[in-house]
Amino acid sequence: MGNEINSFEPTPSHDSSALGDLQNQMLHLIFGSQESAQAGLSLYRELTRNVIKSTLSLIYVQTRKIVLRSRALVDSKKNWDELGELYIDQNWPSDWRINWAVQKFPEWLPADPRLKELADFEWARFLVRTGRDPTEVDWMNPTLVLRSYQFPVFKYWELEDDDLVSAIEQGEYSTLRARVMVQHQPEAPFCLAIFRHPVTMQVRILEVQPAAFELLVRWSEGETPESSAQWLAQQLECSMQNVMDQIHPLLKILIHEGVLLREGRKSTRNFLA
Amino acid sequence: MKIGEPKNVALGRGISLRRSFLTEFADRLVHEDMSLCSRLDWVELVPENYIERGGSIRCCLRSICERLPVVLHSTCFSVGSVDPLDWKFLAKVRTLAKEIGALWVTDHISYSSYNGIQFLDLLPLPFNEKAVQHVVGRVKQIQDFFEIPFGLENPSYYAKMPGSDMTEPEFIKEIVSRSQCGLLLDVNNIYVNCFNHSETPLQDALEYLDIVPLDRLMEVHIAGHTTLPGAGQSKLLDNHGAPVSPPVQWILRQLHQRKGVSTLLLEREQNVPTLDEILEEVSELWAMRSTPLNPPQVMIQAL
Repeated sequence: MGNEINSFEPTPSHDSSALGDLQNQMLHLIFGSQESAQAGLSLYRELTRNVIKSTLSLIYVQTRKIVLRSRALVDSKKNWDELGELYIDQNWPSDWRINWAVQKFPEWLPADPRLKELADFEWARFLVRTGRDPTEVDWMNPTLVLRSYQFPVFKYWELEDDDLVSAIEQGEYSTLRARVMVQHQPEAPFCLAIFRHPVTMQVRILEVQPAAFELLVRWSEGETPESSAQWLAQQLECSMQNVMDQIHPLLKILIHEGVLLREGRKSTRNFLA
Repeated sequence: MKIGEPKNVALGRGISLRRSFLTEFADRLVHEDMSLCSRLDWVELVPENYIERGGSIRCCLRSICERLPVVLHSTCFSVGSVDPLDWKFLAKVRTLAKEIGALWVTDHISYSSYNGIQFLDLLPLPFNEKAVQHVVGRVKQIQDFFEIPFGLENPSYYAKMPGSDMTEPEFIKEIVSRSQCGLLLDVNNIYVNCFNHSETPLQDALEYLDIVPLDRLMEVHIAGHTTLPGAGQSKLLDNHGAPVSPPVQWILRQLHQRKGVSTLLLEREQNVPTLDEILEEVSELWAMRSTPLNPPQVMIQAL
């Protein structure tokens, strides 16, 4: 019925068999710039790309809203669908999880930095929503995602369309219910602990001070409160006791909020004793 | 429920669990809602949606698996790819299968990856001996790895690959017979493929049923399809996004007459209606599978 791939020059593949050559050909037909005029084959390109573009729209909801309403923030002035096609051309998916095909979108997005941060925040929320449940060995909430932003994207993330676009474009927003001026302070980045509460399972956002944020980053990378306290003491040029007096209440707050799950490691228990 | 050969197991009516009604489903099941429990016997999950996933979804999953038989149906084994099998992924599926007590796991006679790139779709293989040997070898590795039965589904395809020198049902027969895996027969895919690649779809569908190894039948999938946009009436798309069409119902009845359909699953992934509508449809399909075989008048000419 005219749906066969006609003779072609196989592009080099990592498998020299005919089967490998065929699969290599399909790879380039779907993701490369070479499109097929044959209906059956072009359908595979369309189906795969539609899945990725749908996923982009599902995860980057607010980012999409802004691009649809204000292309001025996008460097190339492309519309949402065009951005999706370009993203796919340059970011072939390598993860079996469909949602992770769009992981690189915020970093890749050629747009105003505020829009990029908003996209990153939406990806962070996705990670938190879908993160695994804690196990017995976890002392930190396994869904915890730490982000520091130059712009307070998390404060106007849930705005309706006009207010959202205004906030992104001008750094301020207003609603009928309240007038709030968001002041951008580049020397004090917004540090966030985003996590899924272990009991209520709601996504929560905790804005923390930079020093506390740095500690959380270090703990999530495997350090203990003790080792990080030593580092902090050096940074602040103060005594360990001074630092411990600061960390002690911080740990309690973080446990209460759900960022930490328990006293955890022996070293942590020493701190809270 | 310990299970030997799944082809000997009669699970009854099943549906594919969707995120859109997962919470409602779990809630009604926990509360023993008879309008649900009386119309459903088992469920199928796509493991990729649940691996390492926590929160309320995990809670729902646990509630469901404690109360209903569950099977896993993946799209990411990439059985036909020339890439090495992704053992890390397979190990995660195996872990999930153990956690929820899955009776068996299935995937498709296709591939979904090449050179580390994921197609996020099921691509067709050439219907030839080389491909058979390739797939059979990989299926045997998968069977050894999983401690529960493994089965393969006949996928829909929209382009015939070069180098094909067998028919599709012959290709499936060789793979399933030689590997001794289970056969998951999708009757909608039979019709979509016969319609898209043949002048006599219903006749070819009957021949299809005569060729594939029904003695290895473990599960039957049924779903709806749609017409490809812009293609008029000439091509069908297996999108699982509509009620099951009369020709597909007819093929189901043909299959039931030949073999007996004892484990039937309704797939609905696009334009998902309410849970009750899905339950109603699967119950109707279950009841009608044994009705007389005379095809509707409109279909006789197509034969």
